[in-house]
Amino acid sequence: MKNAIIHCLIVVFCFVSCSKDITAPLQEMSPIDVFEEFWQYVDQQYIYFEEKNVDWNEIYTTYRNQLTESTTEQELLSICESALKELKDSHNQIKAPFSQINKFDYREGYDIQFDLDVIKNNYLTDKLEIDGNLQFTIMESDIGYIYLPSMGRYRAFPQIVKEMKDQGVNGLIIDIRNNGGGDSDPLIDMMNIFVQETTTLGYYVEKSGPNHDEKTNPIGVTIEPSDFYFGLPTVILTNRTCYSAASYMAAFFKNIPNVTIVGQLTGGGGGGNLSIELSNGWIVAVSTSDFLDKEFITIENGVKPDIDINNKSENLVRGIDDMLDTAIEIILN
Amino acid sequence: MTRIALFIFFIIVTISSVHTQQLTDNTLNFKEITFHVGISRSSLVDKRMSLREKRQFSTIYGLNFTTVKTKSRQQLNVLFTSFKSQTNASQLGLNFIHPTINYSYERKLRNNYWFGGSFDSNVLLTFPNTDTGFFVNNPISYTMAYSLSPKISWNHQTSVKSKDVFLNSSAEVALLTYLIRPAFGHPYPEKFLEEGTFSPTRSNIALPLLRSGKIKSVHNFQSIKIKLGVQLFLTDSVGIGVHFQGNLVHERAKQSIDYRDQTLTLGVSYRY
Repeated sequence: MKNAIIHCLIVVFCFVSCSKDITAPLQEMSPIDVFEEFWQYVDQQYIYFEEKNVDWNEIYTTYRNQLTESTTEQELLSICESALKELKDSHNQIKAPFSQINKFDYREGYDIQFDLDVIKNNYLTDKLEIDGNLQFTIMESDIGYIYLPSMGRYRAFPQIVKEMKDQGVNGLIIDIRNNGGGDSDPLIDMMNIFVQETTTLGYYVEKSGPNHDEKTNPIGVTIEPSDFYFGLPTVILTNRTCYSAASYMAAFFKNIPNVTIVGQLTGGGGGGNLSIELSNGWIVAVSTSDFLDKEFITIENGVKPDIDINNKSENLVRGIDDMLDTAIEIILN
Repeated sequence: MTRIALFIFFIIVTISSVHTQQLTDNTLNFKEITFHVGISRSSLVDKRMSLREKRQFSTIYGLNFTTVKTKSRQQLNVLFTSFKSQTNASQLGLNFIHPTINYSYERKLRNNYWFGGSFDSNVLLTFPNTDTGFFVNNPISYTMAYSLSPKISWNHQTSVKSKDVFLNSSAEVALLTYLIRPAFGHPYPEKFLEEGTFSPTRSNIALPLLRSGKIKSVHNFQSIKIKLGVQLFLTDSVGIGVHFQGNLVHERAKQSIDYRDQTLTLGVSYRY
């Protein structure tokens, strides 16, 4: 029996010693500790240091020097936000419970002129039908028109395009202006109605280690043709507000025959961001993957249109959408 | 939790003290099935999601099959626990699923000791639970550890008021583990990030996932399991018991995972 008691004691105390806390309590994090944690996470995860030629160590020195032990939470957040904005990437974000997200604005410096009501009031005879986020109709000149304001709930896209072709359209305008992005994953399965042969849409690159140059080789993304082939002239309308998944869409379509991109340089956002909660409860997200076009050029800074045109504000007031007019002209000619 | 451990310890000591006559009939051949239900107190730091420790109490369910022969025994133990944390403005909530399967084979040594080996499947799935719009591209972190461990057990049979009482304890330490974790920087497994395999829609990800593991020695991956239990047989074939289990999982890596749990379950056994 004595052996049994000793045995049990050993087992119990082995177990008790395993229940010790393993992370520092929240209140013990100094502003400097939080900044160090934040800086290191970005340093190891962010993918575009080389492409953007940013010296993250220099940024560390600049912002670390602004910190003291008495720096308030609000001041610390502001410092972290400023450091992130130096990377000029709207996928990079930091969120504290007491504040709204303050991130880099990729639209800054661009004249963005778009108003869906101008199209509704001056170009369409019928109301836009709605399926998820897809708004669509057939315009007077038998051109299919699809407006996609964000990249979510758009899986009906191939079916709508098929029905438009069945109704005898001359071509299709896919308007993604002011589309700030969302989920790009379903796109791959939708593009196949526009190709007749195996087509490479671009290349993904992923961060593969903590050093700035540790990345995977470009991984090609290809699509196979589907049973249905659309095959009619198609125009994609873009502007600077097209970001992230919307830029992916524009980049994918650049590889497709019969498709013309019309509008402004997109907002870019080629990175896919990953998030983490820091020890103080703030959440940080940074880009950890990249997308390259068929020329192996990153789309982080935007996808160039085939025809670079912007709406004139004075025309827009008069009910004229210059970009849409160009798209219609391309299809009818 | 220390109190719970001490409580179990005192139960064992008390029961053992009541009747010191050690029965000699340890040579029975039998099979036993036990259903467990209880509570688990988990502590998790998954550095792919959060640098903070997440603690949670949750309900745990288990099923145990045991086959005992004169000189050997086999056990198959299945446990399942999960929790769904509330979204909280001040910190990230994590939802968590933890199924484990453990198979062991032991040979009888002298003095009620058994020694053998076990195969342990320890799967930890964590999902961020937040309405902040973050974690869209890393909505899951996973740890799938398949370990081979030496196992040592001790059993003691006694009786209380003519009822059979069994005390048992065991310890396992993983020596070799096939560990599957996401590749650096994203939630995909490493073998999925290859030309011709990768798909943004994540189609056909299962096989690359299973191929993406790495063999880890005890130096880089620690998995320790300690069990303690007492069973009282009310009849020749039906028993009830209290069981404690402590688990520790730790990966030594940049984006490491630290997981510990202490589980207390009540079990109903049927021996045949």
